[in-house]
Amino acid sequence: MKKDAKGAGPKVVTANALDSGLVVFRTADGRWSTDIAEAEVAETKEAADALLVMGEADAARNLVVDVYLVAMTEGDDGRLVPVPLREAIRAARRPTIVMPGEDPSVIAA
Amino acid sequence: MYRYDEFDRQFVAERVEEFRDQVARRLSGELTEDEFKPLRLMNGVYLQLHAYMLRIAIPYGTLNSRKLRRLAHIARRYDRGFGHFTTRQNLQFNWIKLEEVPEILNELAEVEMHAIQTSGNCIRNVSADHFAGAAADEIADPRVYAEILRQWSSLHPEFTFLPRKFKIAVVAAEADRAAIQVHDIGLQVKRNEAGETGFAVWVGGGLGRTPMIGRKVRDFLPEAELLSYCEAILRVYNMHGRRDNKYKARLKILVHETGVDEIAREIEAEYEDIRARGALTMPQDEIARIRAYFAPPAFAELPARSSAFEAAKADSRSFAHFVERNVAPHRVPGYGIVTISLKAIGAPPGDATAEQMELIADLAERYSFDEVRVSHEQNLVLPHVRLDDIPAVHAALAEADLATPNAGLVTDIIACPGLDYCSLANARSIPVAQRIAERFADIERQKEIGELKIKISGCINACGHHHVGHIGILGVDRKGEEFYQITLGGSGDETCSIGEIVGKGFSSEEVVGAVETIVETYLRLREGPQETFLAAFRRLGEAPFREALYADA
Repeated sequence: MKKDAKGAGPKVVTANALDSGLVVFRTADGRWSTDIAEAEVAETKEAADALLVMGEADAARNLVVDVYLVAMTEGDDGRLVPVPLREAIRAARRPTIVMPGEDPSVIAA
Repeated sequence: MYRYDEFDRQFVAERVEEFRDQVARRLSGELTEDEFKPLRLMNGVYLQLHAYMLRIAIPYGTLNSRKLRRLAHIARRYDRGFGHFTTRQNLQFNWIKLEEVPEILNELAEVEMHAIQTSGNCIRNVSADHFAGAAADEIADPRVYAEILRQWSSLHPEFTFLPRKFKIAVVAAEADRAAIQVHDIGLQVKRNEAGETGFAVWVGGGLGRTPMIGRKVRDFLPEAELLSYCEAILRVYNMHGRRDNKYKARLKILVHETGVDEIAREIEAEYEDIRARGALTMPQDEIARIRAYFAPPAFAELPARSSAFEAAKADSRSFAHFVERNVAPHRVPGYGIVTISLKAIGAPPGDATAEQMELIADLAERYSFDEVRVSHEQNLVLPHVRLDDIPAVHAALAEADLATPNAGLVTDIIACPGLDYCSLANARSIPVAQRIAERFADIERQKEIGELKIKISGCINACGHHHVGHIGILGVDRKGEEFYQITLGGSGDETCSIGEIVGKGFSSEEVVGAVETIVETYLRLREGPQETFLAAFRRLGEAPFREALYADA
């Protein structure tokens, strides 16, 4: 699935943490959080470009790798969620399946 | 058994320390990502969808209990308690921290393992028949030659920066259990009329976005000339392989664009040149030295028939099912080859928990001369089990959900990690495999259908080998939705064929029903239970299947 987010609509910036490799999102106070709910949301193209520049600066400072924008949309509960399935899976921090040894209720929940 | 030679031990130790330093320099910012990426890939570290992924080499899919226990330990200590066995007989961990990779590599080195040749444009980990050394139909142990190729190819300076990755597979039976014809070089160990050992050689096979069946360039290559000839193939490829376009850089494209006759001519010319200098002709004593690595274990002299085994079959339906599908004939009377299915109904294909790995290690140690194999079909194998012991092995496997009697049946599905784990994927593979397995869970129905190989890839890179699935499923992204394209009639065995696209793709909701329609069509049209799905497809062609699938369209 393509990961480039083009077009209008809200965006967040994502990357992977350099040390752990975990999926992270850039927050309004310049941190990188594994929780997409903490991500700073850019509502305009200009804001998204500016957010991406800040993310790339963090990559240049070796905090994160592979920085890019993710298109967001309003989910069923009114909260913003990633548009591409790929990004929804990343944001969930887990596969969509029950992992071996895991309690199946994690998916049902 | 694969083991380090005197060079490997020192080299791998040095390599671990070198990578420890490289990781430290990356974490401190001394190395940029662009500088570091090729270094981490040379050590098997990829950045995947959720985190770093470490791919560990399992040369020709051979493990022992010590190695398998160490993999279990790594799964538990450094990952999330499980690992994924791949279609290249390797193991992947999905949630590895970069800073911990050097220590993991150190722990692997202690048990003579590493992650070298699992990435990059080099000769990758050589794969082989997972029944090697045990199969009733083999004429030699193909791992002897896989190991010779491993020693020759590991960090070969001339072949470390090839146009693209390069895969070699070896079998030593007429039955091809290693899909050799879809490798860059496929080797079949054989004997000529004089009884001498040699190889039939195929070149230019491969899957991915441009699937090609290898072309046979030698019907009989003398044993001693294996390295001379492989070096000649690699040199021709290294010289002429395209470096301008990574999608056209594999040997298969070179063979296709140049023509097999011209490629064969160039290989032969290069081979004559190498051979004239004599440097790579393998001395018999060296072949014998490597063969000693794979000396058969001390098999007992046993009757071919085991009354305990027969009694257990008569007593237990589940054991009888298991024997029918998961026990293959052994070359030594009184023994059997046990396939441990990593395809429990509804489980992710190829995944094993640390506890399962430890149980299998215990069983290998107790019942199988300490040997375990990984198959390219993502199962594990206990190659040398006394028939007398198979009931006990089955009971222990059943306790750990490892005794699903489905080897080669419709639920023994190959699936790549797909969009659940893989950064390159366009669609999920594992949930489709799970839903198909659940749809066909009834063992009686599976047996009625008979041998049927379903293979699923989440993108065109084809890690799930969908092109050679009897039913192949390719996940694609259609305007942000997962769609699945079905191919029919592929096969990775000695009758190798590439599946044909049957028609337009199916949504995630539709795809399991489509598979069921194909299976029902086969059952309706087959000449009898003896006619397998593949045989029926080859007789009927795709028309009746297409008609059944798209009748209402």
